[in-house]
Amino acid sequence: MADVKVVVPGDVIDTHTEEEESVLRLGPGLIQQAGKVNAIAAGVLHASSDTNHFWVVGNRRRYVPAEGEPVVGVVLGRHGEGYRVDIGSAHDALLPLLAFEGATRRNKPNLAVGATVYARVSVANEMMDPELECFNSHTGKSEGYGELTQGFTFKCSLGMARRLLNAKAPVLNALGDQVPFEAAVGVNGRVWINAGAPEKTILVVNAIKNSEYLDGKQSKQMVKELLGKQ
Amino acid sequence: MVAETEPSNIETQFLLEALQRGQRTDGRGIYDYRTLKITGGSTPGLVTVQLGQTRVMARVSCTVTRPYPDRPTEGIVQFNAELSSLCAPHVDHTLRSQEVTVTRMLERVLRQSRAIDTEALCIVAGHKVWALRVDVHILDHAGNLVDAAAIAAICALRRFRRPDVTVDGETAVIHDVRDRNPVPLSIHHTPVCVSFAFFGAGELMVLDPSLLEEQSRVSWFTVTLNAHKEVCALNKAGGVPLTHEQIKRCVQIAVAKVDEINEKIQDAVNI
Repeated sequence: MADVKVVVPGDVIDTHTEEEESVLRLGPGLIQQAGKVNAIAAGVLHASSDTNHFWVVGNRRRYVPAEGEPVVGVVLGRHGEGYRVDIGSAHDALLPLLAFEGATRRNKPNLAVGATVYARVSVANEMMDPELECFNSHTGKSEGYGELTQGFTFKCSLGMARRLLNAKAPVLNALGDQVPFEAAVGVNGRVWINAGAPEKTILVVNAIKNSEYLDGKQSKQMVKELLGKQ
Repeated sequence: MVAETEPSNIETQFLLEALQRGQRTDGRGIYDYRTLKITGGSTPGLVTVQLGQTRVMARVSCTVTRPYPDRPTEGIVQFNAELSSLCAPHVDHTLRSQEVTVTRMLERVLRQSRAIDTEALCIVAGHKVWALRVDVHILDHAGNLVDAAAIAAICALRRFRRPDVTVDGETAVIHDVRDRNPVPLSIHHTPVCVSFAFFGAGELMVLDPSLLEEQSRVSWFTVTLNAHKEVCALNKAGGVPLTHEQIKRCVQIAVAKVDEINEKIQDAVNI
């Protein structure tokens, strides 16, 4: 995409594509109203021409759940047939007991209050509380979702979280070259890091936090300086 | 909205593990204060303090009123702290406990330590006195509101200017700020709070706790002292008991730290 298009809530989006009959996928920040596509979030409009996917990337700290997004949540309690999980949204999410890999009525997971989970948002609309799942419901495999033990979590802005989800994120790659670590990034602005020893985890966490307003080159430089001090 | 969320298990576990090795989650040393920045603008009596990510704004205003009947020659000073939902996601407008804690601390630190000369606020004894109001707004809660609020309040008081008054027997003339320059308040000394948080069974200690450290602490202790190294107040409300060796050590650390803080305050109030 050559030029950057900034939209504000209320803008009508031009979504004409080459094939008139194709299906448009509207991502976060866009809704369909009376045949037109309107923006409901402020930010930069992104479009993927090969999948006809449109979405708005804005930067906030409060999360609004959308279906299919990976999130990091904290278990608040057990509620009937599921767990109540805090994902930072206006309403707590429900994580059904059977939404885990290999879970059956006889073999249910046992999460403690205060446990951290990496889950996928399965239901999100303005009429219901959001729901999560810790596996891919089509394949039945966990695919990285599930309980996160050890390590540390921290909060960042939503824009930062989306940048971190990109496998080529400069700060993560610069750190990964020197310090091996695992990361789980939630688009709800929460990130989990485990680098083994506490000193290393603290280093990685603070390096990522510092890189919020730095570009690729500056991030690499910052990581180099930080590691040089060790 | 979730009210007063506890930190997750891995956060508290990690915090303790790191502290046992002498490390803090934000990379600071155990006795390191976060960066302190005090900003005052053209409005006298309005000050913003930034302590790391914690941001607090204090505003001083005054009106003329009748004194309390049992204190006819003293002015009135009122403190009010407010935490709105904008400062942290877990803050709910129905949770008053944090506001009460900060307000009470400000009252102890500034009123009970006699930092403000209330007799100088008297205009006509028994009839008219100045009533000062110190409003502290918490803009961002990232831990250690008490220290930040105390610094903001004392800086705001020292930068505040009240209208000049001429008293002739029983009548007083309050001059408009455009006719006569407003005058500063009479402040005896500048108290500063230094807060500590304790963990585990009380053996692990940090200075200037961050939000996560504050939520996981087992005990909390604040030393209030002024630039002359006089201890104005010691505050420990609940939590695990501390030995007198620990208290002495906290006071010694506070004495060492107060110089740096006071330097920044002096820069901010000497306009």
